[in-house]
Amino acid sequence: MKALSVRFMDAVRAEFYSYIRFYKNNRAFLFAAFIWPYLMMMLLLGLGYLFGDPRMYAERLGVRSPVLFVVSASTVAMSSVFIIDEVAGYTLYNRWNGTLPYLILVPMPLSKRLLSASIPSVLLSPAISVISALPVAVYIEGLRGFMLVTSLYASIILGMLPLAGLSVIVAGLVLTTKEESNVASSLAPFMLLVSGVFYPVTILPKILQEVSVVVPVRYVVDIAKSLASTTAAGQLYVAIYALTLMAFAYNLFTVPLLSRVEARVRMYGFE
Amino acid sequence: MSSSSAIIARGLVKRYVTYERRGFLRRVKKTIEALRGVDLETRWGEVFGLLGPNGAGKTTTVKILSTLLLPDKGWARVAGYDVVSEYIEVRKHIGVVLSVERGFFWKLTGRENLRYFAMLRGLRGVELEKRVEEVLRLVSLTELGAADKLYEEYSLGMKARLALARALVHDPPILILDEPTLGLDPPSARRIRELIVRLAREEGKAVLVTTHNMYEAELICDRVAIIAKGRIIAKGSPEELKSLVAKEVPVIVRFTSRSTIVEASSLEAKLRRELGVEKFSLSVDKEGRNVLRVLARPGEEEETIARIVGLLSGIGYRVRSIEIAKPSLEDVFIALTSGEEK
Amino acid sequence: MGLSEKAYKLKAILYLHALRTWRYKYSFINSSINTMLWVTIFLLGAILFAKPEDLPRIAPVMFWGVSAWNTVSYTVLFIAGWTTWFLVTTGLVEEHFLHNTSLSTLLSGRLVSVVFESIIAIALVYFVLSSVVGGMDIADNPLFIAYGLMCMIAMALGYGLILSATGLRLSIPGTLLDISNFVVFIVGGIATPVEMLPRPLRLVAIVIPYSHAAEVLRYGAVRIEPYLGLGLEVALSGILGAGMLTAGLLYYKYVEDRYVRIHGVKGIGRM
Repeated sequence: MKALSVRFMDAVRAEFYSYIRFYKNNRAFLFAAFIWPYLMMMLLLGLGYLFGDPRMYAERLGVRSPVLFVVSASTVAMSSVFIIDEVAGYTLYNRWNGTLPYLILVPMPLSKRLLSASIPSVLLSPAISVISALPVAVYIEGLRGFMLVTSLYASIILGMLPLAGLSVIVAGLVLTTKEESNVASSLAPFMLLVSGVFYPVTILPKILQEVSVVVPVRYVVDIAKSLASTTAAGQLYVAIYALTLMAFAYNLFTVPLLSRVEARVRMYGFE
Repeated sequence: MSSSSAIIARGLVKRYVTYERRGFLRRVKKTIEALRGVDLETRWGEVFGLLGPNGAGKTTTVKILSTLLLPDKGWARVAGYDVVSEYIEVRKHIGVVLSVERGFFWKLTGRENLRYFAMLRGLRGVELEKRVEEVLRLVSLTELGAADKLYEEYSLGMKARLALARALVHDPPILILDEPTLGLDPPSARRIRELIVRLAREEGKAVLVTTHNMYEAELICDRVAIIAKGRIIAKGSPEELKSLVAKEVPVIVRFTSRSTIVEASSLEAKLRRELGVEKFSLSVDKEGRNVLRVLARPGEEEETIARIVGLLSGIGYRVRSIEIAKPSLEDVFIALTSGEEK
Repeated sequence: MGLSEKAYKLKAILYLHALRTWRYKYSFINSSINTMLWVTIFLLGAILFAKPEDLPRIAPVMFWGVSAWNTVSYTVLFIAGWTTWFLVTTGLVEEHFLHNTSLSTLLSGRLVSVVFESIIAIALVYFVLSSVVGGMDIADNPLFIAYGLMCMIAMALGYGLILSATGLRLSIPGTLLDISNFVVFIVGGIATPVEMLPRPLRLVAIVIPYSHAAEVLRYGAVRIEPYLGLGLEVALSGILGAGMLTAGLLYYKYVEDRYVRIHGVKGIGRM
């Protein structure tokens, strides 16, 4: 009998299928995914309005509409959270579920396997957040709001490519530990913290500012700020270059590192 | 505990309501009758087996008797107490194994898990420690060096032993065990069986055990009941039940196939359609040979064998051995439940 | 069941949770760090709304608001979430029924883990916030702080039990049912004194039980006069705390006796 070979795209198709079926069969989760950017926005704006003045916030960040900026920033934040959680947590969730050995048994190197699992997340998670933000953006700024949010989608995708590479590395490293708690769960808030998602990076301590240089989310936030900015978007191009460079760097780094991880876990076991 | 029966159930009925998805939004309500009037009785000092195919109602019966589910109709008394209204008292008198691989805290050791559940049973101080140690020894977890290992590191055999230890820790007079040897390796299964028999014989405990392992039931049960589609269809001692099929002769045919997989469903269909055989079972033995067990009418054994051999050879199977056996509990099970699982 | 038997069961449950908290200590520390990171993200954003000269005044209010919210959220999460993700899937629900132990008692013991997590999280938030604003005075009268927190925990415990029991009935994770978390923080008088809320929201806050305990807590922390007066707020906090807890325990018993024993334990959520 002829053995079937598995192509990278077969695995990607399977992951898309699983992703879409999961949300289709769990509409409560889909609903929650739509609601979360609003909860984030409400939390920040609620605190802000209670403790101070939104005009001061807009002035300090150099944005025209504080509400629109917070909507965009929440969209970036939620997309990052989803991607880090889904991609970095992929191996761990499947280990809990008992499905990990079967996923590992797919005849394909671990790096390709994990990269294929990250693609639906990179494309669809930001789409969920962006669709969720669209009504508010259109309500506040009309056509400009629509354009802003759709451009934001493109920039999130660009930003999420390096982030996915990074998350795949974390997913691989999780396999080498016997830790059962979700050690990757602090990764998302840490990245958002150093990226200055709701504030300028300059208010952070020096060391965190330096760390933020290599964190892709920072540049997506910069793009969001540029798009909502009152001034010319000079930093927009810098951010796009930085993200393109990182997308290559992190994903190139992924393959050799995961080959080593795979060799190690085959020695000690996946479970 | 003055009652002569440890467990007595009359006319137990249980229905579950489920919803079947039809399209995106529509759901259709369906009622499943898990039990349709179950009567049974377990005496002190006996091991009583409840046998039946998957989905026959064994676990539902166990859950009702152990007070976890309420029956829709009928009644049951355990240790003389009503399972519906006096459930607190019932629970004090029973030790239960619901699953051999779940029901413990992962990050606690076997001993710590037992200590916790023993405390919930009201054991304390020296008595608690003594009893925990005793049951750990009884199920050989101490011997295996597993008593102080985290539960998450246990093998299935160790988990099963710990489950039995928990059921015994408060020394209950009645044990209700739902498939206590399911999935265990032969030494672990044997150890659990020996213990069950000892507890009934030496300590006078009443043990109700569910299984679909006929060999096990024949080995340890004083009396058995066969349940199918929510009804008890036969009960008595294994010998009494075997006499039910004394009029039939078990014929065992071992055969191999060219490909390693026998398509059981197509073979079953052929046996029914072409030979008119209804009472049979198909399994695989230790050597990997397929085993067909058929109940033939006395005097018709040879004809039955010839027709089976003809059928098997005709579709490419190779017959390795033919044997005419004495009836076993498995034959009773086959005779009474053929086709029930489907 | 006699009182001493009940007390002994409670001892067994405290033993269990103390052991589990210790064995899972890294997970709890991880969740404390997680809390600190998320809180910092929002606080750094919210601070930009405020005038610099107002910061020393509002920082302690923010600190206690966040600390109280953390404690309340984790009480609900650790109770309603644990029922779903652990007790049901590991078959421990029925085992406790068999030991004549209500799940509500077992779940109440989770407060051991809540206290462990909260102490670390609160300490971390204090460290971050005080370094941003340059030192804070946070405890004027510890007795009122402790009373306020205890009442809030009792309320959250009652609410968590109601969510957990409802989760058992509806097969929906209790945590997913908790849609009020952020809303309660902003309009429930936890984040800010009720007095600071816009007038219509004050009425909403008064209806939300947490607000009364939070007012007492803030009085103990920074001597902000409670909205309805100290005496009334102290009495209301105690009554509502005891009331919610009793309601939670009674509802749990009702669900155990009238639902779970009729329909059996069902799988919850994705499992």
